[in-house]
Amino acid sequence: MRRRRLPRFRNFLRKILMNNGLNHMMGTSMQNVKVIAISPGIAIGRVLRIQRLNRLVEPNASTIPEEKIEGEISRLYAALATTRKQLQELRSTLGEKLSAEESGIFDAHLLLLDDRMLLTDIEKHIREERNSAEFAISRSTEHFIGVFSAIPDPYLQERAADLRDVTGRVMANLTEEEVARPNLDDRRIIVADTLTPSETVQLDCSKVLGFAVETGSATSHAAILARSMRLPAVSGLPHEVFDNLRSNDIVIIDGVAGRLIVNPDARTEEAYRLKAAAAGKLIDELGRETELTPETTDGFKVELAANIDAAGQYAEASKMGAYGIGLFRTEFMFMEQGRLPDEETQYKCYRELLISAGERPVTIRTLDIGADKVSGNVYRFAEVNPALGLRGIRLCLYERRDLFTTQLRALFRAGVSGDLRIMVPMVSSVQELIECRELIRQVQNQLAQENLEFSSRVLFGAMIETPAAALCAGNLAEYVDFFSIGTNDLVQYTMAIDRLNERVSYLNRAASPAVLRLIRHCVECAERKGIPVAVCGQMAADPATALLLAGMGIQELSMASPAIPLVRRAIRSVSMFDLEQLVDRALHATNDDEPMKLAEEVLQKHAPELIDL
Amino acid sequence: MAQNKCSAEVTVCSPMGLHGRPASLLVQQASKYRSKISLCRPEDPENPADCRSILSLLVLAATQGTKLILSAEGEDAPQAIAALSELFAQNFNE
Repeated sequence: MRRRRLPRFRNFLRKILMNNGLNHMMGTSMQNVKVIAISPGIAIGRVLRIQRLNRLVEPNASTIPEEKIEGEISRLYAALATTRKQLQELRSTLGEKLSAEESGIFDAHLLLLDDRMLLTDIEKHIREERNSAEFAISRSTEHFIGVFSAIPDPYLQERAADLRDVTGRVMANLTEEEVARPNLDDRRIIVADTLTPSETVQLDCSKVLGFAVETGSATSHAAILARSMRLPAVSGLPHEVFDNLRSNDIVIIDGVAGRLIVNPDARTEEAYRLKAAAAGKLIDELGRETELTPETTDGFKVELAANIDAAGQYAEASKMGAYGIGLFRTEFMFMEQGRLPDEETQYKCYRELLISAGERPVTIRTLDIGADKVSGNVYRFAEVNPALGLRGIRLCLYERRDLFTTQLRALFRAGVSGDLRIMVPMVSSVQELIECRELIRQVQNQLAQENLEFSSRVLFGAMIETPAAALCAGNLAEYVDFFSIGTNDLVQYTMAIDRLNERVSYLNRAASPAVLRLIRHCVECAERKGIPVAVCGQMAADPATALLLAGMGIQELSMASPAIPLVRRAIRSVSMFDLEQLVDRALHATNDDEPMKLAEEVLQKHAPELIDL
Repeated sequence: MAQNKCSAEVTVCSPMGLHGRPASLLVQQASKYRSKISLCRPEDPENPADCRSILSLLVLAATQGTKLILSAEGEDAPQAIAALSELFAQNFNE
């Protein structure tokens, strides 16, 4: 017990220092800021800051003496040669570990490195304006990025990132800084403005505790990497906080509540250590409950299913006690490989998944490309407003019907191996469902003519992601066997907010009355038609919002596998009577925060251990 | 040695526009010739893109259906034009 007093005493000392203003001068004042949680968990540790061109100290803009011009040009070419060698080495060491898409990134980088237009521009700055090599590179990079950003083409925006990546490397070699290639002696929290693909592939993952990035959404490279490595990560760091973070600062990242704490005081640090330890213990405990039925104390059952991106992830879902797969996202197959997967490749993948799942249901979502999920393989239009453009079923029916047909053929053929359901994303009108059904009929006829075996028992569902679909759920119900509500998009389209735009994130409330009323309406329409409704968005994975959904009559919640044990505990802690009361109050809430508060109160009362997790 | 100047009209057929693999292929092929090879929009002949610079081609931002003038100047200009316009006609072997 005596040892416990020490941190408090230290904290007391710090307080005194802070009152004298000393603490601030020493740069050790604690800051606790709201950020976006992109991968769950708590990490406490020292920062390793990854610098890049646009974050480096502004290169010296003063002119160089004329006699130094040739020397500056030689420095530039030496740095280019080093960079070329590094990239080639990196590509050959990584070799087969790289997907075709990732190797393509290296090829593009090598081409840019030798680009005559770029080099001429840089050389011109050095020769004619007597800029230092660093300043010349920085000017040329900014110039071309400016040109790219003036053209509304998502492809060029990606190339702008490549250009920054390459010139950042050259700059690093010029200044001989170990920039994007950290040598880690101990495990660190990586802090960066954003992580480029080439940086992420070369990080020694065993030395990383977590990530904190300034920009990047839950679908960014850093987020996908962090989740696949089970490392906590946050994004959306406020600019001023980001700018002041230095390597070796101590930070805490809370990838659950979405908080970043810089220079934590001893009490906060201890609280988080306890929290991390308790979370670990609770997760172990929940891991032993995966066999228990997810039902309320008064016996209402809610099926818990898993969201996955690859057939190989079934094993983990099953380990967490998923009753089936509620969402298999097929677009990753189309985005990750260099070429589009053909019918056989897809057939094998779907079949493998259905065989692993055995008798259990597997819901596969057809190709959902567009908006934030772009694939150069599938289409490349410059859309001013891609979230409202050609995406999901719109793209499949009206632009790439060839891809959609191939996918449907593979799905219906694989369907004989298990209990398959398919659903189409981004539905906003009955017409789209009529056309899908017609296409399915044609595909089945074709398969029959070719004497290929296929399933005619595959259930067909619509995803409810737009307010139009939710409001007209009664009409849509005539054409489908089930609904699955994609809450992430439904929130985005209902609240009219860009999910990636941090400035409007205050409206990003899954449990706002507007969204809840739409969900309720869907459930009522589905009940009248006698079809089931599932939810497969972030809302299903959060124990508090999962309670709201269960109370509204959702029969299946589908989520990332690690969340299943938490939601199971939440459901098992309450009665349907409690939940119906909660929903009744939440639907009549007059402000956006109230439903969430009410749901958290219920959770606090019945399963408080889940609140802090 | 004779200095030749040649040009031909080409159309971008790739749905992705003159980007990615097509642009990289064009740079690789154009680098095989000694002639100076450029692409420009007919309405903007003053700002040609250098076919040996990927950046320059990207800045051209030619989308599907764009008509462009391919020009070459140098000893192997006719061969360069023939080979590169064929590349466009074959839609970069996509």
